[in-house]
This record gives sequence, C-alpha cells and structure tokens, in this order.
Amino acid sequence: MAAFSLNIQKHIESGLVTSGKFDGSHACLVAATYGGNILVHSPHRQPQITSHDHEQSDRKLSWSGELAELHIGTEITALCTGRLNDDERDILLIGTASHVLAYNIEDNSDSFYKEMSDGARYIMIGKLSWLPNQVAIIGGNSSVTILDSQGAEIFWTVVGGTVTSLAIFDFDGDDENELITGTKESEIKVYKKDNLLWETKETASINTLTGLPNRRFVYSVGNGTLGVYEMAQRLWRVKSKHRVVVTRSFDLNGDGTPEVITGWNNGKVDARSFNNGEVIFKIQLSAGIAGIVEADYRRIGKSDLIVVSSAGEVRGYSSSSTMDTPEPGEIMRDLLAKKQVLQMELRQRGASVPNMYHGTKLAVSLMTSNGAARVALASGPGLFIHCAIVFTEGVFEGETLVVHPNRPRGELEIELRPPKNAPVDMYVKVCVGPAGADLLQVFEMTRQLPRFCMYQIIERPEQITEDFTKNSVTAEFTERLQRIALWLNQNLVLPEEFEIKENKPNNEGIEIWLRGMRDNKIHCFMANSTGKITIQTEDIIFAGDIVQSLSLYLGLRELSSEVSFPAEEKKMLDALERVKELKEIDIRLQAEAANDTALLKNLIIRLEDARILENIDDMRKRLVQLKNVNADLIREHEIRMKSYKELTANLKQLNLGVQHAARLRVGKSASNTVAQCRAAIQDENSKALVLAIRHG
Amino acid sequence: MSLPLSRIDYAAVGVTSRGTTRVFSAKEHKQTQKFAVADHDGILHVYGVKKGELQVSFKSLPGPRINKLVLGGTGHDKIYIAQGNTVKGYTKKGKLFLEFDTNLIDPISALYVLGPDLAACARDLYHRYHDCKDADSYLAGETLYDVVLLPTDGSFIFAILACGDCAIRVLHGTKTPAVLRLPSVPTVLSLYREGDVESKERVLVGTIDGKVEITSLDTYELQDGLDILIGRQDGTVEIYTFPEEDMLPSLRYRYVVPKKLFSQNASESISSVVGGIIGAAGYPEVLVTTYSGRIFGLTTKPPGLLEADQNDGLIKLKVEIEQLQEKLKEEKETASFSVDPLAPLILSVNHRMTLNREDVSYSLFIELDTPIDNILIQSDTPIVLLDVESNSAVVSLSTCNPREGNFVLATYRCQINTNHLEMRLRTIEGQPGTLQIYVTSQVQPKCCRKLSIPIPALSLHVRQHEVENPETRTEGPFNALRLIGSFTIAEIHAWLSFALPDVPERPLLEEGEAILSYVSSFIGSVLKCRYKKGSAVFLGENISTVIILRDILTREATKRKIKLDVFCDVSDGSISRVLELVFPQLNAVDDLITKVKILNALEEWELKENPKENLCTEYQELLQKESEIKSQMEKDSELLERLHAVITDLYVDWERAKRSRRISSKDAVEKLGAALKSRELAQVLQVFVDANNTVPAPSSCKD
Repeated sequence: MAAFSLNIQKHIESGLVTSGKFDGSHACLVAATYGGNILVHSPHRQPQITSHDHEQSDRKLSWSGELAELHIGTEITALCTGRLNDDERDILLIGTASHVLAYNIEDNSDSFYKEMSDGARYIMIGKLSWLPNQVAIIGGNSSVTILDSQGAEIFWTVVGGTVTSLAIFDFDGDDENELITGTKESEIKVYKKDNLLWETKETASINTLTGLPNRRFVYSVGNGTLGVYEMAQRLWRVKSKHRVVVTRSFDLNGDGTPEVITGWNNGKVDARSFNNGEVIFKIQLSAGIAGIVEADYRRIGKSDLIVVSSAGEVRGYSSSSTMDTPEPGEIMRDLLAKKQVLQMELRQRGASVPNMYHGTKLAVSLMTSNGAARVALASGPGLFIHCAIVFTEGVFEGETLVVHPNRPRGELEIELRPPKNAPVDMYVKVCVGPAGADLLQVFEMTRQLPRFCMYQIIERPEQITEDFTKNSVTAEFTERLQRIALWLNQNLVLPEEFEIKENKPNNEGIEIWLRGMRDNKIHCFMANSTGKITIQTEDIIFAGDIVQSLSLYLGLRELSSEVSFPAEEKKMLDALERVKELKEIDIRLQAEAANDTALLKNLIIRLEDARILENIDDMRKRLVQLKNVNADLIREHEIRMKSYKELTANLKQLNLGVQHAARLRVGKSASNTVAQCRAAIQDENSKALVLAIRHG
Repeated sequence: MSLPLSRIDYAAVGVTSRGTTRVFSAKEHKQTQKFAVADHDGILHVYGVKKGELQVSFKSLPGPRINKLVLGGTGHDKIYIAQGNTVKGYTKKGKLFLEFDTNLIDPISALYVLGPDLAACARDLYHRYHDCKDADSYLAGETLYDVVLLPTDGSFIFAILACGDCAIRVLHGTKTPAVLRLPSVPTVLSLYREGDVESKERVLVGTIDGKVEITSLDTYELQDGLDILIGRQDGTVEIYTFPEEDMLPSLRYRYVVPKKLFSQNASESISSVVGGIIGAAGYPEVLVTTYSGRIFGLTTKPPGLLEADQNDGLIKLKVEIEQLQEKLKEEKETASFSVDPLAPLILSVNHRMTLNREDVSYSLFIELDTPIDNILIQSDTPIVLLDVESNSAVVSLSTCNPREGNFVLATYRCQINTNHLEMRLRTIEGQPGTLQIYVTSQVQPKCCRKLSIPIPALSLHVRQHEVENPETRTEGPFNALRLIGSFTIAEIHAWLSFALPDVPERPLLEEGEAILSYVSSFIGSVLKCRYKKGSAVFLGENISTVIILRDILTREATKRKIKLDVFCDVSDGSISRVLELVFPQLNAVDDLITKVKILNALEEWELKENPKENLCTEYQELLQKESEIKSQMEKDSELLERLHAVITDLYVDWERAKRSRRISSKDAVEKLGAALKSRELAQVLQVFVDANNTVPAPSSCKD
C-alpha cells in the first residue's frame, strides 16, 4: 500500500512532472500547472527567513510553505531535471514552444535561456557515448539538439517528424548509451552519433519511451498499445482502450529486477514484468495520471515511486512493500477456474457443433485487382460465411475491418488498402455455419500482406511520356536474377510465380511494369543480368521503399546509386530559396519588433509620469498611443508567426527531401548523402544540393 | 463497512439460472448445513461439508436444463426442480419421488412449493396445483418473473406474483388480484425469514432497476442482527442491515466477484445468494453461486483460521485437473469426429438490453459461460455506441456501407478472462432495425453464438402503468390516429410489438378493448393506444410519434394483405405542447454549454488561479462546480443536437400530416434555424404557424 499520500490541490498537466534535488540533498517534485506555471513541492525545505525580497520580477520563485510557483507565462511543453556539470545540485530545464530555460531553483535564477526555433517537445539529460559530458538533449519539431552545461549547441540532427519522446540507453549492448527518439509520425529510431542504428514504424504516434537494462526499452503509442523491445525484437505488447501517459522502470516488488510502471489517462497505474507484460500490481486513482517519478521523498535513503494525478493527488510507493499477498483460498480459486476452463474445452470439443463442421476447411486466396488487395474466402458445401473480421494495425482507422454480407454467403471478398508500403500482418476470423444457424464455427488464420500488395502488375504501356523516363534510380546490386525474382515473388501479389530459368545464361533480364492502386501511377522495375537495377518512377518514396526492401532482402550493407528526379529536385531548390528569403524576413521583423518594444517602454514611462502628475489629458493621449503601438505589435507578431510557420514547413520539406534521397542508398552512401545535403542546405548552396541528391 | 468476510471457494458446476441454489435447514443449531445446486446441464448436486471438507452427497444424471430449484415439504427437506415444463421432486438423499408433467406450454420460469400446493409460472401464465391436481390459474398477460405462496388461516392461499408491468399481483383464490405498483420491474421475491422460520406476511422484492439489477435476495443473521443479502447482475454481493422502524438499511459489506489474474472489472453475474452455515460449524456465511457455476462462501470465519482447511481439497482438485488435461490431450490426438447426441449445449449467452431513462440510452449486457474473445455488433439501422467506463475491451469501429445494410460494425476485443461485457448505445426513434451480435468464445475450437435483438421504431418510449406518476399533469391536446380494418386483436397487438418496446405478452383486455399507454423517456410526450377487433385509436401528443406508428402499422398490415382505413386528426395545439416539453431541456442544455464555454475561456485566459480575488461571484461558483458541470456535459455531449432533431422531425411530420407535404429535414433545419437560435418558444411556434398562412395547402384533415 501507499507509503505516503498527499494532495497539492492543483491541476497538473499530464506528462509534465519531474523530480530533483535542487539543493543537492532534498528531493523535490516539480510539475507544470495551468497557464504556464511551474509548481515546486519541497517537503523538506528549510524555511528561509532572510530572503524577504518582495520584488515581483519576472521569473522568480515565490515560496509559500512547502510550495513554490514559477511563472513562465507561456505553455510549457517539456520538463526535465538533472545535472549538467560537477555541481551536485540538480538543474531544472523547462521547454516551451520557442525556448529552453535552465533554472537554478536554489539560487532562484536562470542558468541559461536559449531560443529553440523547433520548440522543445521533450527534454532529457544524460550521457551519450560520443560526448564526454552530461548533456541536455532537446527534441523539437523534426530535429534533435544537444546542449552543454552553458546552453551552447554541440550537436544537431534532423529526425523525420515531431519528437514526442526520447530515451538514453544501451541499445546494442556495447556498454555505451545510444539515443532513441520517438515521433508523432509513429517512428522509433536509434542513433549513435549521426548513424541511424535501427528504426521501426509503430501503429500510431509514439507517446513514451523508457530505457530498461539488458538492451530493452518500453514504448507506448497513441492508440493504447504498450510494449517492450529487446534490441530490435518485440518481446510483447498489450493494448487497452485507455492511453499511456507515462512509463518508467522501477523495482516495485523488490526482487532485484525493475518492472515496467505505466500510468494511464484513466487514473490506473500498473506494474508489469518486463519479460512478458504480466501485471503484478495495479492501483486506481480518481483522476488521470499526470506523471510518475522516482525520488527519496521520505528521506529514508532509498527512492520511492511517486505517482502524481492530474488533480494533484500524490502517492508514494516504496520498493518491495506493495505486493499483494495472496488471499487465503486464492490457490483453490485458481485451480477451480482452471478446472472449469478444461471442462469447457473438453465439452466444446465433444459437443453439439453439427457434424458437418468437422473437417471443413476454408479456401483462402490472395489477389490484387480493382484498386485493392483482396482476400477471397470460400466455405465448404452447405456452409456459409456469416461474417469475417480482420484484425490488423495501421491499415484502418480502428483495428478491425468487418465484412458482414446481407445474408450468409458461400464466398466472400475482403478488400484491403494498406496506406503504406509495409508488410501487413493480419489476423482473420471467419464465422461459418449453415444459413440460419446461431451457433457458428470460427476459423482463425494469420496472413501477411506483401509489402507492395497495392501495386498491380501490368503490360508495358504503349505510351510513355518523356517526362516519365527522366525519373529514375539506378544501382548496382550485383546479384543473380533468380534471387531478385524471389524477392519479387515475396513482395508483390502476382497472378503466378515469377521464374527465371537457370539454364539460360544470357537472358535479357527482368522488366516489370506496375500500376500503383492508390494513385494509378505507373512504375517500371528493370534488372539486367549483371544485377544492375533501374527503377523508373515519379514517386521517390516508392523508389526508396524498393531500394530499402531489396537491399534488406539481399543483405546488402552498402549501396550507392545514381538518382534523377527533376521534379523533386525543383521542389527542394524552391524550398531552399524560400528558406533563404524567410530568414531574411525574420531578421527584419525582429528588428521592427525591437523597435516597437522600445517605443512601448518609452510610452509606458510617459504614461506613468502623466499619472503621477495627475495629468488626465496626457494620460489619455498616451493610452491611445499605447493602443496603437500594441495593435502594431500584434499585427507584426501575426506576420512573424505566419512567416515562421512557412519557414518550418519549408524546412520540413527540405528534411523530407534529404531523407528521401538517403533512402535511395544504403549504409555509408546514405549517411554521406545526408551529410552532403545538410552541408549544402547550411551553406544555401543549391548546386551542391542537386549534386548530393543525384550522386550521393 | 462493518462486516469482515472472507471468501472460500467450494466447487464449480455448469451454468446456473437464477434461484437454483438452496440451503437445507440444520439438524442441530449452529451445525453445518447441506445445500443443493442445479445447473443447465440438468444436474442436481447436493453438497455438504464434513470435517472441513466439501463432499458430494448426491449428484443426478444430466438432462434438460434446470431453471429453478426450491425446497418444500415439512422441514424444507424436499428438493423440487423445474426442468422444461416438468417438475421433479428429490429427497435430500437423492431419491426421485415425484415426476410431474405440468402440461404448461412454455418452460417453467418460476416455481414455489408450499405444503401440498405447487405454483408454477411459465411466461405470463400462473398455475397452481394442489396435490398435483389443477387448483387454479391466472393469465397475467405480462411476463412473470417470480412467485411466492403464503398460507392463510383458512384453506385459501395467497399467491404473490412479480409481473413485468412493474407490479406485484396478489392472488387470493379466484378473485381479481390486488395490484401493487412499483417504480420498476420486480425480478425476485423472497420470504423474510429469521433462521428457519419464514414469515407469513413479509416478502422482500428485488427489482430490475435498483441501480444494477438484483438477481437474488435473502435474509440471514450473519452477525449481531438480521441482514439482507443481495446479489446483483454485475457480480456484486451486498449485505445490508435489516432496517428497524424508521431506519434506513445501512450497507455492511460489499463484494465484487473478481475474475482471476489480469483483468480489471471483469466479473460475472450472481445467480443465487443464500445465508447459512456451510463451511464451518458456528460461522454463519453467505453462499454465492455465479452464472458460470462457481460456488463460494463469504464466511465470518476469520481468514487466519481458513488456510489450513483446504489442503486435502487442493490435492484432489489437482488430480482432477491432471486427469482432465490427459483427457484433452487424448481428444486432440484422436480427433474423433463422433458426436455425442447427448452432448450438452455449449456457449450459453445471457443477455439483456434495458433503457436507461436518465440519459435515454440503452444498456446492453452480454454474458457468456466461458471467457469472451470478442464481440461483434452489427446494426442495420443507425445507432451510436457510447463508451462505458467499466468496459475494458478495445473497441474498434469498422468502416461500413449503409447500402449493404450495415450502419454499424463494431468489434469489442476483450481482455483476457472477461466473461461479461456491458455496452451502451443510443437509438433513434423512427429508425427500427435489428442488432446482430456475434459473441466469440476464447475456448478452442473457437465458436461463436449469434444473437438478434430487435430495435422497435419507438425505442425511446416507456410503458406507463395506471397508478404511476401520482402528480398527474394535464395531458393533451392529442393527435389521433384511427385505424379501421378487418384485423383481429391479436394481429394488431403483434404489429404494435414491432413499433413499441415492452409490449405485454398478450393484449390486456378490458371489456373487449386493450389499452396501453406510453411516455417518451426523452421528451415526455404521452401516447395512448386503445384497440379492439376491427378498430384502433392512438392518441399521441407528439405528431412525430403518431406518424411513426402509422407508418409501421400500415406497413405491417400491407405485408399481411389486410386493408386498413387510416384517419389522422392533427391537433394544432399539440405542437405548442411538445415545444413546451422540449424547451426547458433545450434551455438547460444551452445554459450548460454557455457555462462550459465560460469555464474554457477562464482556463485559456489563465484566470483560474485565485478566483476569490479576481473573479465575480458568478464565475467563482462556476469554478467550484467545474467538475460537476463538465461531467454533466460529457454525459450527453450531443443532447443539443438531439433536441434540435426532435423539433426538426416535428416540423417535417407536421408538414406531412397537416398539409400532406414532404419536405426534407435539411429544409426544415433551414426554416427553423433562426427561431431555434433565439431560444424563444413563440418564435419557433411562429415558424410552424407561418407556413400555414403563407402556403395555403389543401388539407384533408379536419381540425
């Protein structure tokens, strides 16, 4: 049971709770409340008599008893505590949409205040393998920035999407920490310096990531899924209708290995074994969980697990004290339940399912036609399909597609349109029985839809526009055609297997024409006998998907390619040009804003003068002037926001372009492409950018 | 809660119906008592605890499912079970002494034995036998849920019936029964008893709408003073002190049957609770049986003394499990396809759909005897599925095409070990249809059970009974629908059951005429039906209700090729009547929405801190009630739209009935838009009247 509980009676923003020892020894709780306020709860703080300065300046902590408030005044997007240098006192990092503030609670002063144009969505303090000291890592919209203890930028990299979570842990077992990022675009990526070690795509936006020992980490995503990966293998996952707010690892039962602690938006907290996800402990709070931290809150020399709800309820649980002891009779109950299940199963086996159900099979086939991948089902004679349910993730809005015909039918087709080029594991349940029956047999099966199932094989079109042939990727895979054919068979839904005769040594190669069923665009895949592959397509993403899939299949670690995508290049150059312009505009606007601010300050002083002199007319005049300046400021701010939005959009476009170009290569060549493109963007050198895209 | 009880598990039998567990009287005071349980496999078990160990003293052969079990005879030592329409009598030792075919057409659903008298209820028919000979019977016309017989001084007997029309009927001989109206449908009757002494005048009644339906009741002295034991459909067992004069009963103990391991909130409904001394002499306890057949006790014996007791039982159970596993393995290997014709039924689904009057939504409760894998809901009419907090299943709405008859296709994928699930849904009046529900079990080989639940056209109407609502409000004016044709009373009664929920089993005739009255739980408008052979009159305050009814009845008549003459009298006054009913609700919702808007604004402007210093008293009050207001809003976020839809429908139907003009609801929304925004009843009314003036349309109806 809870070791302690208290209530700070404030609304706490979900996900924005942390703890730290700001004086080096006493644990405090820090949380974000309404309207950009930070609340510090310090139960062991010595009341300070000396600091009686009532000066209400900006950004100062005001203590009242155990609580202190810090007014930031803008929406807080991230909170983090930790040590960036040898000072044993923790520092508090506060992230907003535009800045990172490092605050020293004990001194009640800023440590640094740094503008982050990408915003600070998630902040983490830790030690990375390729940097000598503790650093602050800030994830923003499409980038990760690393700052040192002075707030100087020491590393910057692009990630394809808005960062929602970060974790630092040893991913590959080399006893050094890697950086792992999770994005709104549902991607999880592991970085070691500039190298992308591993990436995967989840089924919804990533909510939280937490590193565990033994190369494992916990992840949770927006659709209520929680799971654990070990290296690149998923150990388990569970799904709930509620959403995970926070994950943490803590040894709650005191057995020496930490458990996965999860806080949910419905107020539930559970602890699961990280081997299999089995729940070993759970509690329910009356409001949604805002955060879970680890802190020595009772001064016992050992950390407690502290749960904070969004209504301000705080509960602490100590390690090894909270386990449920089995109730008397629990074993008996479990055994009885087990017996009941066995009896049921026996009964169901021997039971009243009509004879003809037995031995019947369901015919299943997969095809691609009329704009969708199709699973066709056919039941045995005298039996009908009443309905079919397809369970899969990332293909439909929910997790299921149900096909329910008007009346039971002998044959049924399920249309599937996966939105992305990725293999889809689906789990199909089909209810089969005679017409009019109310007891039906359920056939279950798992099938995998090939990665490129949304591409239909077609004859070579008679007319091919000149523009089309200009788009291509060419790469030397140096692989036998037979293996490439095998890959084709595995990744496409073909009416019949594609075969290359072994005994014809000098055959002319493979040429396949495909029609994408999402957009009706035509693509061509060619391979000659030396293993040189050319992909002609206007879709650079599709080309990248093919290169990546094929090289993964063939086990290639390095692959360079020659690329030509005129339209894509033009888009990037336009974006680069626009970025250049927007940056200039921004500088100009900043100057104007500074000007207006100075004017504003001036006016306020004049107004104050007029008030003291009780000169009403002058006051009125100043107020009117103030109003005008204010309106100007607001207008300018709007313009600035608009141009900033455009700037980020263009930057995103550039980053995406770089990513697409990199995906046409593998290994060093890919990272080279990124580095070169980035250098070109940094220098605003359009020629270098084009060269980098074309030749890597 | 003042009563510490601990659970001990005894046994598991097949699926059980309500009221199929009884405890025998003790031979000696405070000694352990035997008990009898009957299940759907048709097996009657008699158990007793000897030397701390549960022993089967008798077990019958399987047969048709047993719906009811009661005790009778002097000293309550004879067991009577209802199996289909047969009543069987067993002695405590298991000797069959009676097998009596009642000749009732429907299976017996309620049973009671008092001396030589045996009362059996099947559907809406009550029948009493004296020494197995017909004594008297009574056709209630309503579903009968339970029956109790009470002796009187004379040779007469009182029969007390729990009836589906929210009434208790007391029969005395062949006289017209005395009717006692209740606010909800009674489901369980139980004699007040103190120990073995049953009262001759006090009866406990459990109803369907006591927050969660009560499924079983008993009184028993557990510890200092008499207690009421209550079992509920959601798996709670509650114990209340028996109220003294003028005192409210206080809750002493609540227990929710948990399912083991990981699941949250998962439980199963209670089919019986009985007080007795079962496990250990001297310790009174509550004997509980669940739907899937788990039998356990909640004992007053302190938990410290319990542990050692069950070791032998555990060993025995482990052996049994091993044997079962062995057998299962064998089955799997041989995979014999021989089917045992006597094999018992599998996948028993227990379901109930009830209207919550508070927020005008339906609760759908589904329970399976094995863990549920998933539930698929298919609807051929528009419905809205609502979230239920206690439901932990992962809901997914599949895309669907209404043109193929699929308006909703939703799957509920259940967490492990979920036996029952509660869902909530909202129907739309005038959109009748059928829900098809596929419940798939987790047990291999997987099977699923399909249920069909009809949704009547006037799904939000609730039947009214005479004495209900004592504060009689003025009713009317009414729109009248008159039907004349060559239909029988049974036919029109059957057609009505397509349109209205809770239509009684048989027409309730009074002087050759049947009367039913309904009230809309949503807007409160009244509908009265009077029908007899060849003619029927329907009076409705809401013209939309009358139009829906007309459409359904004429459609049904056409299907059966019966010619109907339809007359529809529209009352102009009825419009303002309905608007008067809707407007208070409309204003309340509007108020609520404004409040929420203010609260959101306060939040956005960061004015929530220190309300006392910064805000006016009105806003301070708002902030204080913030969570209350917001939860109220969440309860029915679409109420405003629904109320608007009622007025729009009213307008469309009014145009149709009054001027035989069909306009689309889009046009109606346009016409009403400004008036609705104004929140002035008069303005809205003006729209109705206006059309009358500007477009003189031919009207066939008389005013």
